[in-house]
Amino acid sequence: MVRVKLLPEGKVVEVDLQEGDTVRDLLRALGLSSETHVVLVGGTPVPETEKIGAGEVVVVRVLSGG
Amino acid sequence: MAKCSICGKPAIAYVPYQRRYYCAEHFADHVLSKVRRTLRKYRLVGGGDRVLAAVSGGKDSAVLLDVLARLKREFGYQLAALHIDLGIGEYSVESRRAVESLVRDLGVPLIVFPVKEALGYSIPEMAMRLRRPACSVCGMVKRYIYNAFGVEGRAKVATGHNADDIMSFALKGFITQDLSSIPKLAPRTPGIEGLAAERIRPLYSVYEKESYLYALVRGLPHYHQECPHARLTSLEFRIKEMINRLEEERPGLKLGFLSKHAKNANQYPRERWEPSPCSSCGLLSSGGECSFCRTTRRLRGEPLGRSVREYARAQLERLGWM
Ligand SMILES: [Zn+2]
Ligand SMILES: [Zn+2]
Repeated sequence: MVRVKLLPEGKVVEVDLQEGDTVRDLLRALGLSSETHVVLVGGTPVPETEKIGAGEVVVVRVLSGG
Repeated sequence: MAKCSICGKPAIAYVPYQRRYYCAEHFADHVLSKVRRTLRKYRLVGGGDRVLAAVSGGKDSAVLLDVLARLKREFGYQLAALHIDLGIGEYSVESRRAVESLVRDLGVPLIVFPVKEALGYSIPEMAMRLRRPACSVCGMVKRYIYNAFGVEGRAKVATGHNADDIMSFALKGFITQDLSSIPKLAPRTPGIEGLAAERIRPLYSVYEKESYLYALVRGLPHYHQECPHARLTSLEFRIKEMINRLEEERPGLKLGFLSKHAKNANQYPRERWEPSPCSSCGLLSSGGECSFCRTTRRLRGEPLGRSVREYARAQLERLGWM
Protein backbone atom coordinates (compact mmCIF):
# COMPACT_ATOMS: atom_id res chain seq x y z
CA MET A 1 0.00 0.00 0.00
CA VAL A 2 1.34 3.41 -0.97
CA ARG A 3 0.12 6.64 0.55
CA VAL A 4 0.08 9.29 -2.14
CA LYS A 5 -0.13 13.03 -1.63
CA LEU A 6 -1.31 14.81 -4.78
CA LEU A 7 0.05 18.31 -5.34
CA PRO A 8 -0.77 21.13 -5.86
CA GLU A 9 -4.28 20.19 -4.55
CA GLY A 10 -2.97 18.41 -1.44
CA LYS A 11 -5.41 15.47 -1.63
CA VAL A 12 -4.22 12.19 -0.06
CA VAL A 13 -5.12 8.78 -1.54
CA GLU A 14 -4.00 5.19 -1.00
CA VAL A 15 -3.04 2.89 -3.85
CA ASP A 16 -2.57 -0.89 -3.81
CA LEU A 17 0.50 -1.90 -5.78
CA GLN A 18 1.77 -5.30 -6.91
CA GLU A 19 5.29 -6.54 -6.30
CA GLY A 20 7.60 -5.02 -8.94
CA ASP A 21 5.28 -2.16 -9.91
CA THR A 22 6.97 0.99 -11.14
CA VAL A 23 6.35 4.70 -10.74
CA ARG A 24 4.59 4.61 -14.10
CA ASP A 25 2.27 1.83 -12.84
CA LEU A 26 1.43 3.96 -9.82
CA LEU A 27 0.57 6.91 -12.07
CA ARG A 28 -1.51 4.63 -14.32
CA ALA A 29 -3.44 3.39 -11.29
CA LEU A 30 -4.21 7.03 -10.51
CA GLY A 31 -5.15 7.74 -14.14
CA LEU A 32 -2.27 10.23 -14.50
CA SER A 33 0.34 10.66 -17.23
CA SER A 34 4.06 10.38 -16.49
CA GLU A 35 4.61 13.28 -18.91
CA THR A 36 2.63 15.67 -16.73
CA HIS A 37 3.42 14.33 -13.27
CA VAL A 38 6.59 13.92 -11.24
CA VAL A 39 6.83 11.45 -8.37
CA LEU A 40 8.91 12.46 -5.36
CA VAL A 41 10.14 10.08 -2.68
CA GLY A 42 11.62 11.87 0.31
CA GLY A 43 11.59 15.08 -1.74
CA THR A 44 13.72 13.59 -4.55
CA PRO A 45 12.30 12.98 -8.04
CA VAL A 46 12.20 9.35 -9.16
CA PRO A 47 12.33 8.21 -12.82
CA GLU A 48 9.05 6.66 -14.00
CA THR A 49 10.77 3.33 -14.77
CA GLU A 50 11.83 2.87 -11.14
CA LYS A 51 10.20 0.21 -8.93
CA ILE A 52 8.21 1.55 -6.04
CA GLY A 53 7.56 -0.12 -2.68
CA ALA A 54 5.25 0.61 0.22
CA GLY A 55 5.45 3.97 1.93
CA GLU A 56 4.70 7.59 1.21
CA VAL A 57 5.17 9.44 -2.04
CA VAL A 58 4.25 12.83 -3.42
CA VAL A 59 2.83 13.17 -6.93
CA VAL A 60 3.14 16.67 -8.41
CA ARG A 61 1.18 17.84 -11.42
CA VAL A 62 3.64 19.95 -13.39
CA LEU A 63 1.15 21.51 -15.83
CA SER A 64 -0.01 25.01 -15.21
CA GLY A 65 -3.52 26.04 -16.16
CA GLY A 66 -4.63 28.32 -18.94
CA MET B 1 18.15 1.62 -9.21
CA ALA B 2 18.47 3.49 -12.49
CA LYS B 3 21.79 5.25 -13.03
CA CYS B 4 22.70 8.45 -14.87
CA SER B 5 23.61 7.60 -18.47
CA ILE B 6 26.53 10.02 -18.22
CA CYS B 7 28.14 9.59 -14.81
CA GLY B 8 26.49 6.53 -13.22
CA LYS B 9 25.16 8.36 -10.16
CA PRO B 10 21.55 7.62 -9.10
CA ALA B 11 19.14 9.00 -11.71
CA ILE B 12 16.42 11.50 -10.83
CA ALA B 13 14.80 11.60 -14.26
CA TYR B 14 14.29 9.58 -17.40
CA VAL B 15 14.04 11.40 -20.72
CA PRO B 16 12.04 9.03 -22.95
CA TYR B 17 12.74 10.78 -26.28
CA GLN B 18 16.48 10.32 -25.67
CA ARG B 19 16.14 7.02 -23.80
CA ARG B 20 18.49 8.48 -21.22
CA TYR B 21 18.64 8.72 -17.46
CA TYR B 22 20.10 11.74 -15.72
CA CYS B 23 21.34 12.58 -12.24
CA ALA B 24 20.39 16.05 -10.94
CA GLU B 25 23.54 17.70 -12.27
CA HIS B 26 23.38 16.15 -15.74
CA PHE B 27 19.65 16.74 -15.97
CA ALA B 28 20.29 20.46 -15.44
CA ASP B 29 23.02 20.29 -18.12
CA HIS B 30 20.55 18.62 -20.48
CA VAL B 31 18.03 21.46 -20.09
CA LEU B 32 20.72 24.12 -20.37
CA SER B 33 22.02 22.61 -23.59
CA LYS B 34 18.48 22.50 -25.04
CA VAL B 35 18.19 26.23 -24.39
CA ARG B 36 21.65 26.88 -25.80
CA ARG B 37 20.70 25.04 -29.00
CA THR B 38 17.47 27.06 -29.29
CA LEU B 39 19.35 30.35 -28.84
CA ARG B 40 21.83 29.33 -31.58
CA LYS B 41 19.45 27.65 -34.03
CA TYR B 42 16.98 30.54 -34.12
CA ARG B 43 19.61 33.24 -33.51
CA LEU B 44 17.65 34.59 -30.57
CA VAL B 45 20.50 36.55 -28.99
CA GLY B 46 23.87 37.94 -29.94
CA GLY B 47 26.74 40.02 -28.57
CA GLY B 48 25.70 43.47 -27.35
CA ASP B 49 21.98 42.63 -27.11
CA ARG B 50 19.92 43.71 -24.14
CA VAL B 51 17.55 41.05 -22.88
CA LEU B 52 14.67 41.88 -20.58
CA ALA B 53 13.30 38.67 -19.06
CA ALA B 54 9.64 38.75 -18.05
CA VAL B 55 9.43 37.01 -14.67
CA SER B 56 6.08 36.17 -13.08
CA GLY B 57 7.34 34.33 -10.00
CA GLY B 58 6.30 30.93 -11.40
CA LYS B 59 8.59 28.03 -12.26
CA ASP B 60 8.98 28.68 -15.99
CA SER B 61 10.16 32.25 -15.67
CA ALA B 62 12.49 31.22 -12.81
CA VAL B 63 14.02 28.68 -15.19
CA LEU B 64 14.16 31.30 -17.94
CA LEU B 65 16.06 33.76 -15.76
CA ASP B 66 18.45 31.10 -14.43
CA VAL B 67 19.42 29.80 -17.87
CA LEU B 68 19.71 33.29 -19.34
CA ALA B 69 21.98 34.30 -16.44
CA ARG B 70 24.16 31.22 -17.01
CA LEU B 71 24.46 31.76 -20.77
CA LYS B 72 24.98 35.53 -20.59
CA ARG B 73 28.75 35.55 -20.93
CA GLU B 74 28.85 32.87 -23.60
CA PHE B 75 26.49 34.85 -25.87
CA GLY B 76 27.56 38.33 -24.73
CA TYR B 77 24.18 39.92 -23.95
CA GLN B 78 23.11 42.11 -21.02
CA LEU B 79 20.30 40.79 -18.82
CA ALA B 80 17.67 42.31 -16.52
CA ALA B 81 14.38 41.01 -15.12
CA LEU B 82 10.98 42.69 -15.36
CA HIS B 83 8.20 41.75 -12.96
CA ILE B 84 4.65 43.05 -13.17
CA ASP B 85 2.87 43.18 -9.81
CA LEU B 86 -0.71 42.53 -10.92
CA GLY B 87 -2.34 43.21 -7.55
CA ILE B 88 -4.10 39.81 -7.45
CA GLY B 89 -4.14 39.51 -3.63
CA GLU B 90 -1.98 36.90 -1.91
CA TYR B 91 -0.95 35.40 -5.27
CA SER B 92 0.75 38.62 -6.36
CA VAL B 93 2.34 39.27 -2.95
CA GLU B 94 3.91 35.79 -2.89
CA SER B 95 4.89 35.93 -6.57
CA ARG B 96 6.73 39.20 -6.06
CA ARG B 97 8.47 37.83 -2.97
CA ALA B 98 9.63 34.79 -5.00
CA VAL B 99 10.95 37.02 -7.79
CA GLU B 100 12.86 39.20 -5.35
CA SER B 101 14.56 36.19 -3.82
CA LEU B 102 15.29 34.69 -7.28
CA VAL B 103 17.03 37.81 -8.62
CA ARG B 104 19.01 38.08 -5.39
CA ASP B 105 20.26 34.50 -5.82
CA LEU B 106 21.09 35.01 -9.49
CA GLY B 107 22.49 38.53 -9.19
CA VAL B 108 20.24 39.92 -11.95
CA PRO B 109 18.93 43.52 -11.76
CA LEU B 110 15.14 43.73 -11.32
CA ILE B 111 12.51 46.22 -12.42
CA VAL B 112 9.05 45.96 -10.85
CA PHE B 113 5.98 47.50 -12.45
CA PRO B 114 3.24 47.85 -9.78
CA VAL B 115 -0.05 47.85 -11.70
CA LYS B 116 -2.26 49.22 -8.93
CA GLU B 117 0.08 52.10 -8.03
CA ALA B 118 0.89 53.01 -11.62
CA LEU B 119 -2.55 52.58 -13.22
CA GLY B 120 -4.83 53.26 -10.24
CA TYR B 121 -6.50 49.83 -10.32
CA SER B 122 -5.35 46.25 -9.82
CA ILE B 123 -6.11 43.67 -12.53
CA PRO B 124 -9.23 42.29 -10.74
CA GLU B 125 -10.50 45.85 -10.20
CA MET B 126 -10.00 46.68 -13.86
CA ALA B 127 -11.75 43.49 -14.94
CA MET B 128 -14.72 44.25 -12.70
CA ARG B 129 -15.08 47.82 -13.91
CA LEU B 130 -14.70 46.84 -17.53
CA ARG B 131 -16.95 43.75 -17.15
CA ARG B 132 -14.34 41.71 -18.94
CA PRO B 133 -12.66 38.40 -17.98
CA ALA B 134 -9.62 39.04 -15.75
CA CYS B 135 -7.35 36.95 -18.01
CA SER B 136 -8.06 39.00 -21.11
CA VAL B 137 -7.46 42.32 -19.31
CA CYS B 138 -4.33 40.88 -17.70
CA GLY B 139 -2.94 39.62 -21.01
CA MET B 140 -3.50 42.97 -22.70
CA VAL B 141 -1.92 44.98 -19.84
CA LYS B 142 1.11 42.66 -19.60
CA ARG B 143 1.70 42.73 -23.36
CA TYR B 144 1.62 46.51 -23.32
CA ILE B 145 4.00 46.87 -20.38
CA TYR B 146 6.53 44.35 -21.74
CA ASN B 147 6.43 46.08 -25.08
CA ALA B 148 6.82 49.58 -23.60
CA PHE B 149 9.88 48.50 -21.59
CA GLY B 150 11.36 46.65 -24.56
CA VAL B 151 10.93 49.58 -26.93
CA GLU B 152 12.21 52.19 -24.45
CA GLY B 153 15.22 50.06 -23.48
CA ARG B 154 15.94 48.87 -27.05
CA ALA B 155 15.80 45.41 -25.54
CA LYS B 156 14.52 42.00 -26.57
CA VAL B 157 11.74 40.77 -24.32
CA ALA B 158 12.22 37.13 -23.27
CA THR B 159 9.26 35.14 -21.93
CA GLY B 160 9.13 31.75 -20.22
CA HIS B 161 6.77 29.99 -22.65
CA ASN B 162 7.69 26.30 -22.66
CA ALA B 163 7.17 23.65 -25.35
CA ASP B 164 3.80 22.63 -23.90
CA ASP B 165 2.53 26.23 -23.82
CA ILE B 166 3.57 26.72 -27.44
CA MET B 167 2.11 23.50 -28.79
CA SER B 168 -1.18 23.86 -26.91
CA PHE B 169 -1.52 27.48 -28.05
CA ALA B 170 -0.97 26.45 -31.68
CA LEU B 171 -3.38 23.53 -31.42
CA LYS B 172 -5.99 25.78 -29.86
CA GLY B 173 -5.54 28.10 -32.86
CA PHE B 174 -6.19 25.14 -35.15
CA ILE B 175 -9.19 23.85 -33.22
CA THR B 176 -10.83 27.28 -33.14
CA GLN B 177 -9.62 27.91 -36.73
CA ASP B 178 -7.93 31.12 -35.60
CA LEU B 179 -5.18 30.26 -38.08
CA SER B 180 -3.27 33.53 -37.87
CA SER B 181 -2.69 32.90 -34.14
CA ILE B 182 -0.87 29.59 -34.77
CA PRO B 183 2.62 31.00 -35.49
CA LYS B 184 2.40 33.72 -32.82
CA LEU B 185 4.44 31.79 -30.26
CA ALA B 186 7.38 31.14 -32.58
CA PRO B 187 10.93 31.07 -31.11
CA ARG B 188 11.12 34.75 -32.00
CA THR B 189 8.75 37.49 -33.11
CA PRO B 190 10.69 40.28 -34.81
CA GLY B 191 10.26 43.81 -33.51
CA ILE B 192 9.07 46.84 -35.46
CA GLU B 193 11.30 49.90 -35.13
CA GLY B 194 9.83 52.29 -32.53
CA LEU B 195 6.53 50.34 -32.29
CA ALA B 196 7.17 46.84 -31.02
CA ALA B 197 10.01 45.13 -29.20
CA GLU B 198 11.39 41.82 -30.43
CA ARG B 199 10.06 38.83 -28.47
CA ILE B 200 12.18 35.76 -27.82
CA ARG B 201 11.13 32.43 -26.27
CA PRO B 202 14.29 30.64 -25.10
CA LEU B 203 12.36 27.74 -23.46
CA TYR B 204 10.73 26.93 -26.83
CA SER B 205 11.94 23.31 -26.77
CA VAL B 206 11.91 22.73 -23.00
CA TYR B 207 9.04 20.47 -21.92
CA GLU B 208 6.93 21.66 -19.01
CA LYS B 209 8.01 18.63 -16.98
CA GLU B 210 11.67 19.42 -17.72
CA SER B 211 11.09 22.98 -16.59
CA TYR B 212 9.56 21.78 -13.32
CA LEU B 213 12.44 19.37 -12.67
CA TYR B 214 15.06 21.99 -13.55
CA ALA B 215 13.58 24.48 -11.07
CA LEU B 216 13.51 21.71 -8.46
CA VAL B 217 17.08 20.44 -8.89
CA ARG B 218 18.50 23.97 -9.06
CA GLY B 219 16.44 25.01 -6.02
CA LEU B 220 15.14 28.10 -7.83
CA PRO B 221 12.84 30.23 -5.67
CA HIS B 222 9.37 30.30 -7.23
CA TYR B 223 5.75 30.43 -6.13
CA HIS B 224 3.93 27.11 -6.53
CA GLN B 225 0.36 28.33 -6.47
CA GLU B 226 -1.37 29.15 -9.69
CA CYS B 227 -3.07 32.40 -10.43
CA PRO B 228 -6.57 32.12 -8.88
CA HIS B 229 -8.03 33.10 -12.27
CA ALA B 230 -6.43 30.11 -14.10
CA ARG B 231 -8.83 27.27 -14.89
CA LEU B 232 -8.01 23.58 -15.18
CA THR B 233 -11.04 23.27 -17.43
CA SER B 234 -9.72 25.82 -19.93
CA LEU B 235 -9.32 24.57 -23.50
CA GLU B 236 -5.56 25.20 -23.40
CA PHE B 237 -5.14 23.12 -20.25
CA ARG B 238 -7.20 20.22 -21.63
CA ILE B 239 -5.18 20.34 -24.86
CA LYS B 240 -1.95 20.16 -22.83
CA GLU B 241 -3.19 17.00 -21.12
CA MET B 242 -4.15 15.47 -24.45
CA ILE B 243 -0.81 16.31 -26.09
CA ASN B 244 1.04 14.71 -23.20
CA ARG B 245 -0.98 11.48 -23.42
CA LEU B 246 0.25 11.29 -27.01
CA GLU B 247 3.80 12.22 -25.99
CA GLU B 248 3.77 9.36 -23.48
CA GLU B 249 2.85 6.92 -26.26
CA ARG B 250 5.13 8.52 -28.83
CA PRO B 251 8.17 10.06 -27.13
CA GLY B 252 9.49 13.07 -29.04
CA LEU B 253 6.13 13.99 -30.60
CA LYS B 254 6.27 17.52 -29.15
CA LEU B 255 9.87 18.08 -30.31
CA GLY B 256 8.92 17.04 -33.84
CA PHE B 257 6.00 19.44 -33.84
CA LEU B 258 8.13 22.33 -32.57
CA SER B 259 10.84 22.19 -35.18
CA LYS B 260 8.24 22.05 -38.00
CA HIS B 261 6.17 24.78 -36.35
CA ALA B 262 9.15 27.13 -36.31
CA LYS B 263 9.90 26.33 -39.94
CA ASN B 264 6.31 26.81 -41.11
CA ALA B 265 5.65 30.03 -39.19
CA ASN B 266 5.11 32.05 -42.38
CA GLN B 267 2.82 29.47 -44.02
CA TYR B 268 -0.19 30.58 -42.01
CA PRO B 269 -2.49 33.45 -42.96
CA ARG B 270 -1.36 36.80 -41.61
CA GLU B 271 -3.50 39.08 -39.52
CA ARG B 272 -5.44 41.48 -41.65
CA TRP B 273 -4.46 44.66 -39.88
CA GLU B 274 -1.39 46.73 -40.61
CA PRO B 275 0.70 47.87 -37.61
CA SER B 276 0.59 51.61 -37.06
CA PRO B 277 1.58 53.93 -34.19
CA CYS B 278 -1.05 54.49 -31.48
CA SER B 279 -2.49 58.01 -31.76
CA SER B 280 -1.97 58.51 -28.00
CA CYS B 281 1.23 56.70 -27.01
CA GLY B 282 2.96 55.99 -30.33
CA LEU B 283 3.42 52.26 -29.73
CA LEU B 284 1.95 49.37 -31.73
CA SER B 285 -1.70 49.68 -32.67
CA SER B 286 -3.98 48.11 -35.26
CA GLY B 287 -5.22 51.61 -36.15
CA GLY B 288 -6.12 54.67 -34.09
CA GLU B 289 -5.58 54.36 -30.36
CA CYS B 290 -4.03 51.11 -29.05
CA SER B 291 -6.13 48.83 -26.84
CA PHE B 292 -4.16 49.78 -23.71
CA CYS B 293 -4.74 53.51 -24.24
CA ARG B 294 -8.41 52.92 -25.11
CA THR B 295 -8.94 50.78 -22.02
CA THR B 296 -7.17 53.14 -19.62
CA ARG B 297 -9.09 56.06 -21.12
CA ARG B 298 -12.34 54.23 -20.27
CA LEU B 299 -11.12 53.52 -16.74
CA ARG B 300 -9.37 56.73 -15.84
CA GLY B 301 -10.64 59.33 -18.27
CA GLU B 302 -7.23 59.61 -19.96
CA PRO B 303 -5.00 57.19 -21.87
CA LEU B 304 -2.07 56.00 -19.73
CA GLY B 305 0.29 54.70 -22.44
CA ARG B 306 2.52 57.77 -22.29
CA SER B 307 2.87 57.60 -18.52
CA VAL B 308 3.83 53.90 -18.69
CA ARG B 309 6.53 54.79 -21.23
CA GLU B 310 7.81 57.53 -18.91
CA TYR B 311 7.83 55.13 -15.97
CA ALA B 312 9.76 52.63 -18.11
CA ARG B 313 12.34 55.23 -19.08
CA ALA B 314 12.92 56.20 -15.44
CA GLN B 315 13.37 52.57 -14.40
CA LEU B 316 15.64 51.75 -17.33
CA GLU B 317 17.73 54.83 -16.59
CA ARG B 318 18.45 53.31 -13.18
CA LEU B 319 19.86 50.24 -14.99
CA GLY B 320 21.92 52.40 -17.30
CA TRP B 321 19.87 51.12 -20.24
CA MET B 322 18.76 54.51 -21.60
ZN1 LIG C 1 25.15 12.31 -14.02
ZN1 LIG D 1 -1.41 53.67 -26.92
